[in-house]
Amino acid sequence: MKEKPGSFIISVTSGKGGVGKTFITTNLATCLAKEGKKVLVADCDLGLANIDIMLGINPSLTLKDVVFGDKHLRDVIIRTSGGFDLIPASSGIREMAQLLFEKIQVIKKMLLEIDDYDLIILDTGAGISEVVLQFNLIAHQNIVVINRELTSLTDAYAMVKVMYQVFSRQSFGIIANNVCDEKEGLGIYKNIDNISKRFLGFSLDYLGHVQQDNAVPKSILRQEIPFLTAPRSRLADNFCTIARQVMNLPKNRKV
Amino acid sequence: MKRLKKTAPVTAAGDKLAIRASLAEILKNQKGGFLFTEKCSQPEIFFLLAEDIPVGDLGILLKEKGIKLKLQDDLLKKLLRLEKENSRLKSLSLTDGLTNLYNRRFFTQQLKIEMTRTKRTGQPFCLMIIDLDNFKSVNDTLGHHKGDEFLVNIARIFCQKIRPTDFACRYGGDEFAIIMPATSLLDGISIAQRWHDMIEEVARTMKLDVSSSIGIDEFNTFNPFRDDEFFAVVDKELYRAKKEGKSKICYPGYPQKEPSSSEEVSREEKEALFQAFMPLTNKKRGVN
Repeated sequence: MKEKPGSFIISVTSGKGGVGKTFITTNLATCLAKEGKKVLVADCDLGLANIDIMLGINPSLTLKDVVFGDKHLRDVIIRTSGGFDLIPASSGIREMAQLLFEKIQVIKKMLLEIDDYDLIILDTGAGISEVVLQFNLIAHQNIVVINRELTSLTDAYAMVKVMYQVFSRQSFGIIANNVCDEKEGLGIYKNIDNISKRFLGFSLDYLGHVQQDNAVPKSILRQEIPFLTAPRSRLADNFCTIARQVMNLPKNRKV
Repeated sequence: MKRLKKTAPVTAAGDKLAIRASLAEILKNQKGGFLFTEKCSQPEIFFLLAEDIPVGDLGILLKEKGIKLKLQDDLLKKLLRLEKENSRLKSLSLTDGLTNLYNRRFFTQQLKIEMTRTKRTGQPFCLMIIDLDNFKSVNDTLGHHKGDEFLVNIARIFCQKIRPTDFACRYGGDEFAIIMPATSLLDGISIAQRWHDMIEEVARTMKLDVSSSIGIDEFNTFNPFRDDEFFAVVDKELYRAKKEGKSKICYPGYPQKEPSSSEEVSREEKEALFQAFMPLTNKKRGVN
C-alpha cells in the first residue's frame, strides 16, 4: 500500500481583510472535526492573530515561541472547543509581521514534519505580503474567500494573479461568504471565474457559499463557533457542503 | 554426466549438433573431457561460447587428447574478455568522455527511475541543475583546453565530495544535473550551496572568473509532473538564477529580487471586474 505522505495542507486567504477568512477557517475546521477528521488550524496572520480571540482562549505559547524561542511547532498546539487543534500566533509583535524568509522556512519545515493530521488549514492574514504568499505556497491548495463587495472581488483576483505569476499556481478554490443565497454565491464565483479564464487562462474551483446569518455577529461577540451553537442551521449546512468539496480537492500541486 | 545431459539441449540447433556429437564422443572416449564439464560451474556458458569456434576447429580440439583443458581456458578467457568489453561499452554509453561523470542518457533514465521510486515510497528527491557563469569567455579567451581542464577539475571534486547515493551528470557543455535521492528541498538547498562554493574554489585556484548558477526543486508525491515537466521547472529556476545576477541558487518559493515581479492588475481587468459586479448590485438591493 502507498504510504500517506504528510498531511493535506490548505490555506484560506483573500487579499482583502474582513471578508471572513478566520470565520470560514474556524467553522470549516469544526465541521471537519465533527465528521471525524483530524484537523489542525495554524493562525498564520502573524502580526495580528485573532483565532484565539474568536475562540475565547488565551494560549500561553504561540508561534512566536517557535520562531524566536526554542519550541517546536508541536509544543504550541492546543486543543480547542471546536474539536480541532490550533497553532496560535501572537498579536502586535512587529518582528512577527515581517518575518524573514529563513524564519518562514523554519516554520514550513516543521509544518511538513507534522504528518499525523488529515488536514492542516493555514489561516493567512490579509494583503499580499511575502509572509502571506509564502504560506499560500506551502499549502497544496489555496482557498480564496470572497464576499459581495467589489473590493473583495478585485483583491481576490489580485491574489490569484500574484500567486499565478510569482509561483505559477493555477489551482484555487473559491468560497463566497456572507451572500443572500446559493444563486448569488454562484453568480459571484462565475464572474471571477470568467475573468480568470479570460485574462489568466485557467478556471477556478467553486467550493460553495456561506449564507448571510444574523446569528453570526452575535456568536462572534460571545466568542462561540456558529457551527457549534447552531448545528442544524443553514449556515452549518453550507459548511458541510464546503467541507465535502475541500476533502475532494486533489492533493496535487498544479503548476 | 547427468549435468551435461541436462544442459545439452541449450545448444541444440543447426551446426551445434556437430558440437554435441563431438562432445558425446569426448565423453565416450576421454575421461578428461568428462571431468572438466563436471567441474565447470557454468556449462551453459561453455556451450554458448563454443558456438563461436568453428565446428571444424572444435572437433579437432576435442579429438586430440589433452587439449580439452586448453579449450576450457580459452573459452574462459574469451568469456572474461567479452564481459570486460561489455562493461566497457556499457560505461562508454552512460558516461561523459571528458569528465567521466554520467552523461545525459544516463540522467534521463535515472530521473525516471527516481520519480517512480518517489511515487512508490513517498520519499522526496531533489534535482539540481548547475550552469557555469562566464564559462564561454574562458573558452573564447584562454582556449578550449583551459575550459576542458576546468571542467575536468570540477568533475574530480564532484566525484570526491558527492554523497555516495547522489548522481552527478554532465547534461551539456557547461551544464550539470545532480539527482539527490531521498533528499528534501531544504537539505538540497544546503547541498547546492556547498557545490556552488566548491566550484568557486576551483575557479579561484585556477584563477578563472567563473561562478555557478543553480536551480533546484524537490519532487514529492504531491507533484503531478512528468519527468520533462519537472526538469522544466528546475530549468526555469536556473534561468531565474541567471537572470537575477548569476552566481546564486534559486528554487520555487525563493524570494524574488524585485518584489513587483508580478504585473499590476490592469485597467482592463479592473473594468471587467467592475462590470461583473454591477449586475450583482442591481439585482440584489446591495447591502454594501
